[in-house]
Amino acid sequence: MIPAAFDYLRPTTVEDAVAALAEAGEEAKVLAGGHSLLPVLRLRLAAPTLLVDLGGLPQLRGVRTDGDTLVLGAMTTHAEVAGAPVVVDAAPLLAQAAATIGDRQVRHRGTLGGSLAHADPAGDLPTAAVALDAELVLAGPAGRRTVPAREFFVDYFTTTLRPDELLVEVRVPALPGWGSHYLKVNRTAQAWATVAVAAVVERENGTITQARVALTNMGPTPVRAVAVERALAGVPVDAIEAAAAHAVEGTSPASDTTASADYRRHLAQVLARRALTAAAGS
Amino acid sequence: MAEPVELSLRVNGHPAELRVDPRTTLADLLRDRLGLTGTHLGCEQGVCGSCTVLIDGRTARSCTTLAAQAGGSTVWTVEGLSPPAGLSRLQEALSAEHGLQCGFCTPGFVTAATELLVASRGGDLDEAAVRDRLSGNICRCTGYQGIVDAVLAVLAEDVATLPGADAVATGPDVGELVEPPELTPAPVDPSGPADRRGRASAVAAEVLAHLAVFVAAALAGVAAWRRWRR
Ligand SMILES: Cc1cc2nc3c(=O)[nH]c(=O)nc-3n(C[C@H](O)[C@H](O)[C@H](O)COP(=O)(O)OP(=O)(O)OC[C@H]3O[C@@H](n4cnc5c(N)ncnc54)[C@H](O)[C@@H]3O)c2cc1C
Ligand code: FES
Ligand code: FES
Repeated sequence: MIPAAFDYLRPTTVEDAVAALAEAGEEAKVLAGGHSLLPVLRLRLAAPTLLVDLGGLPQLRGVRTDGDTLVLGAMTTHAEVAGAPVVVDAAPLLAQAAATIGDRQVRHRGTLGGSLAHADPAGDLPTAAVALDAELVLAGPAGRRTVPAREFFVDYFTTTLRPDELLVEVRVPALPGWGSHYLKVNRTAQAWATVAVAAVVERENGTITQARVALTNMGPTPVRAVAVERALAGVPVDAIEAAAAHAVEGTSPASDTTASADYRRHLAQVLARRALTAAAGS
Repeated sequence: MAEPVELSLRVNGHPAELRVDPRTTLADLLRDRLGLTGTHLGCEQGVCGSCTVLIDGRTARSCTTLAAQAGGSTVWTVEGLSPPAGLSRLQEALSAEHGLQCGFCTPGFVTAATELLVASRGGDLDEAAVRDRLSGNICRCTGYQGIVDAVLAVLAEDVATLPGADAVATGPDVGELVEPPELTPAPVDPSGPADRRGRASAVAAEVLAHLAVFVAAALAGVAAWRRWRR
């Protein structure tokens, strides 16, 4: 289908983009890669009257380090997140999660910012951002504010972004000496997660000192598996199996044509065990 | 009617200057305005890959990219990846290995395979890697084996002579993208810390249901067609 008519703006500064959004109010939509937004517009499930395309903002595309923090621009594509040596080095979990998204065509156009702002519970990057305790920098008419990834995701497709705000940067704190692993079960075509698990583990002499675990598609937002994390503080690596059994606590997976909620709960436990084992060993 | 967008881009090596309705997709621009109907539209939802083109040297879906988003870019379509007369080695191999039946998906596969072949020049991809790299393209006829065999057959050859080989971005997937994002020092947000009010993305939860219905309808359509053919 052809989308309903809209006006199109391609601002060249963040300030102009924010001003355009503020002026248009709820009627405007931000356009990044378009790989989630355009299918929705084509099905006419949304009909914004203005699209503000961030494609004219190369200043939002790229990666750099700021002291101990990895900073990624919102318009950095999945392929770039997956392949940039600085990301692979400083936040391998994020690179690994980005590499599992869709296929090459999708990864060439879809963006980190778009994935986070879209807040699909089956999205891979929201989970990685939550597991890494990333901070999201939002720009609005009054300036910038920083929101922890854990507080950014509110509900299905719902975040704390205001209509006149842009996600501009993602800040990932370095975790030197930690191991990490992202593990996903998906059907081959499209690669949306049935369930996936992000695990980040700090070890010292065969003992896990801290662990962070986040789950994809086990509820309306990425879920932090707090019970697993608690069970893994200061225990030997072989405690992983027992701890992973707690992965279903606090989750509310849906049943759909791909999998039942029961199967998702089973997957969460198995994948948590495997991801934690890989993270603790890597 | 929305304000038209002025566009300037290069398609298959030729400059194009156009005014388009902002909602025009790149696929529609190529097919309807430039007559390049080799780019096929299957699902128009970003799922099947038949609309694959190269944008700035990398494969992309033209049905979920607005023409306006390609402004200033270099676009190559299957027409530009074929010799002026006859077939390229890749196209010959697809024919010889039975890599197509109805041919609807073939332009997308030719484009994706051209990127794969040129970008992996000298690399030793095995069958699993070829399948993975073509996983963005769906074929409803061949069962894929012939397509994969055709790509493997050409892999060992000098792919630099493939038409359009120069158009493919080589090297790693990532360019040198280390420009720091613009950082204007910002005043403190007077409205205080993040509120939890929540902002729905373009889609509400109901979209999930809608999409499920759409996919179910599509699958039902395919099944009905299969039964009818039998
Ligand atoms: C075939 C296919 C397979 C896919 N498979 C996967 C998968 O396996 N895993 C996965 O995680 N994803 C998958 N995706 C989704 C893909 O990752 C999308 O690219 C992503 O969800 C949205 O990014 P985008 O840049 O395309 O955003 P857009 O579609 O442009 O925007 C999405 C939403 O975010 C808003 N937005 C975008 N950028 C910003 C910003 N900077 N600030 C504020 N709001 C913003 C938009 O207004 C819109 O509401 C798939 C998509 C397709 C088409
Ligand atoms: S027509 Fe574009 S992916 Fe199917
Ligand atoms: S040859 Fe018919 S869809 Fe591929």
